[in-house]
Amino acid sequence: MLRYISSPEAEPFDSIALDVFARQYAENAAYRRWCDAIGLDPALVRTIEEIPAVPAAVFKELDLVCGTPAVEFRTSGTTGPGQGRHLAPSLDSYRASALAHFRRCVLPEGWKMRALMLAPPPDLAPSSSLSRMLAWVLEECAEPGSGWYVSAGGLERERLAGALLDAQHGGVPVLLAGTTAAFFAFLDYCDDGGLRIALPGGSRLMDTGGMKGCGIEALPSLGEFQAGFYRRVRETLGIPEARCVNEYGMTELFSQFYDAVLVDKDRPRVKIGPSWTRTFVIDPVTLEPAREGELGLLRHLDLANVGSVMAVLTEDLGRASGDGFVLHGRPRGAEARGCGLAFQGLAESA
Amino acid sequence: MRTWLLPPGVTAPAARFRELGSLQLEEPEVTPALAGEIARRLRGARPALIALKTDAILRAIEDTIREWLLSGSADRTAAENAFRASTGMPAPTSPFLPLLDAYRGMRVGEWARAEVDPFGALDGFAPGRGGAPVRALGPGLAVHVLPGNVPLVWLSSLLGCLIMRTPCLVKPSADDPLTAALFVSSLARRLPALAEALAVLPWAGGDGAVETRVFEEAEAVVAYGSDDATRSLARRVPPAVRLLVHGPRFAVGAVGREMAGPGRFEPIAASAARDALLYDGRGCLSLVAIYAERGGLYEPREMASMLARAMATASEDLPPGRAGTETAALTQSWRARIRARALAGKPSALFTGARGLDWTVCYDDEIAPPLSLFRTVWVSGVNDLDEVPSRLASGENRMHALAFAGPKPRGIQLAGALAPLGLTRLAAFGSLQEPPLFWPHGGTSVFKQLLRWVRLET
Repeated sequence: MLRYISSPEAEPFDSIALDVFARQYAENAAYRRWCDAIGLDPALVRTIEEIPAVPAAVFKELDLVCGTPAVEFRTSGTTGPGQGRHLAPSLDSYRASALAHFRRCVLPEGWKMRALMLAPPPDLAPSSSLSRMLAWVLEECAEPGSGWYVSAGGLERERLAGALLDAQHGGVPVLLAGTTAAFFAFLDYCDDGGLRIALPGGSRLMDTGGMKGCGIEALPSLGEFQAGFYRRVRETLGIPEARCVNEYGMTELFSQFYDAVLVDKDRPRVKIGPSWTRTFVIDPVTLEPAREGELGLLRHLDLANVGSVMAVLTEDLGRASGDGFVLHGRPRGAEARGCGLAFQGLAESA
Repeated sequence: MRTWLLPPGVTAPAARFRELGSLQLEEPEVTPALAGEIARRLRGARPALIALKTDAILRAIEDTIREWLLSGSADRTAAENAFRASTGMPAPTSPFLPLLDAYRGMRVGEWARAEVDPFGALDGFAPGRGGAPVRALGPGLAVHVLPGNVPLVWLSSLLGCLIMRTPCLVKPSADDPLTAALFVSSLARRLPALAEALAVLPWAGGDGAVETRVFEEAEAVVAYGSDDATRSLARRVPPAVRLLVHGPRFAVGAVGREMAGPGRFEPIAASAARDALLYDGRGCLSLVAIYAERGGLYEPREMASMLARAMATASEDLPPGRAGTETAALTQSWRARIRARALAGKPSALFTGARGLDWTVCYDDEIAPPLSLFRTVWVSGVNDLDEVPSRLASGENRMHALAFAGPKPRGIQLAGALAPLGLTRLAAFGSLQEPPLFWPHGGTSVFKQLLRWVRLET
């Protein structure tokens, strides 16, 4: 799988995905039980569309792993009962996938940058898949002066402001990455203190986690929320909307999806995944493919999930758009999840 | 067909047309200026409304309801067809009659008399308690923001306002686009003086400019809707305006061990299925969960299985309408969760209809029932009915009504324990969705909330 991620054009996706399905059916006992419970005959799976997807909620109940798990990540939901667990025998495919697609979508110039992480480091949040990914970004894509800005005491606003002012005065572009909720908290801090920063050109922001935990009472549409958030980022930090990239990821998937804003200016807010993923939009009533352009549940095939379960039916709604999708968000009333709450929980516990 | 009705003399607004199934709906272009003008006109009609006699208003209401209850009622048929087309509910029987039945006979007059004492205070000063003359008047203008999930649930608020001489501006829901205009038009035909004091105006929900203008003129706003919708609306209601919000609520059931046996539970299951499936479980009185007491001849899991069979049967008469995307997504997620819990050896079982989201029964002893699912009943076992209040007390409680099956003293005891948690009604299974007119929707009547009393002491 690592070879495929490094040179995905070498083999057709579909045949690999079908092989992975056969292997996961054989080696992942919980997945096999799930398939059997829904009456799936694996011999009848001949196309990738027929590969049975495991709903994200199932990760709360079953250990969906091939062989012996060596790593475990947990979802951050706090309002619903239980946490989802993504178990895997290895981190290799996660690391390879996460770094490759991050570079493509967030650092397409091939730069290394000073990276400031608005998330807790892995030693503080060992079950956070986001923290793990950002640690790899720090290892591989960051220049000196990079670091974490969420500690056991929560977001280190003052230290972050100092680091950003240093970057402004030194003319050093920065990469800010973290949860949307953490950025909200920092923007509020800047507003309260009248702080305005003009980060050097090339600076960029990657946020993830959505509007949960941002203290917004009447939730707008995701698009409205994002537009308002990025406007604040521009006004407060000097990073233009065209350099703000929203990540859509979930603990249950080792690959991520990003706004195309830095790689395809014609469709800036279309989410694109790496070539070892496929996304389908599913009619939530019939669980069959949705009609073209219709809103539906997102179902992903992710070959980076080679050690767990490749096909995941999310609780997120979206619309297909070319080879990507536009995220609509999670149904209101669905359990609040996402990295935003991990930040909030850490801050509250301090 | 027009979705609006304006007082005589108001210039007809520009209109656009919307296809709804085989219907073509004519919808007005509502501007803040138009909405404001209509609200002012309605306020101005209040003296004429006050001059009407209560008996005349009651007669118009009762005549209108009598007509709507007729099997050949053209207005009701048209309204029902629009409701069916909009919600996708292919109900073979009338979707309106279960609620209209509560008004059959001379019930509106009885209801008003029971609510307003002395009743004569609606027509002028009348001797009140202690002998002092009292006069009762409603607000100068009430704006009613109607729901689309269940038809006619708003009718008692509207009729109550008319009886207390309050002009009304009604905003119908896009999911029930014709009922309000047709009903108000029926009323106005019977008592033309009412036409000056009633308007139906469908503006886009959440249109801040229109709502701000309208609410400035109002003395009361009666709003039905989701948390998001009503929260957003509430921000535009001036502090001095009385706001009555009917937000999302649900009903639960409790079955005592005495009823958990052959010949007893089967009819309860059939009735419960109807309570759950009528209006696709979208009503504030829809049954979403049943607490089944252990110790009877049937175990709770068996009862869930029997309820599933009853749901399958009831679904033939009450087939599903169109599930909203978000509701469908949530329902699928919970189906998967329960299926997985059963695979993991938890006390769970999933029962579903053969097609799509026809119906779902989830049996689970540990997880609190989620709300807002589509045509779903959650069954949980309890060792004793005494546990039910603590089960409902955890998390956000929006329980509205309880269907009970068991010895009456146990029902009374349970209702007493649930009253502090929001219970406003205990009923038999099968009648949850057909509340009597005398049930104060939301726990208190529109008269109690909106009537202002004037007392003469000299």
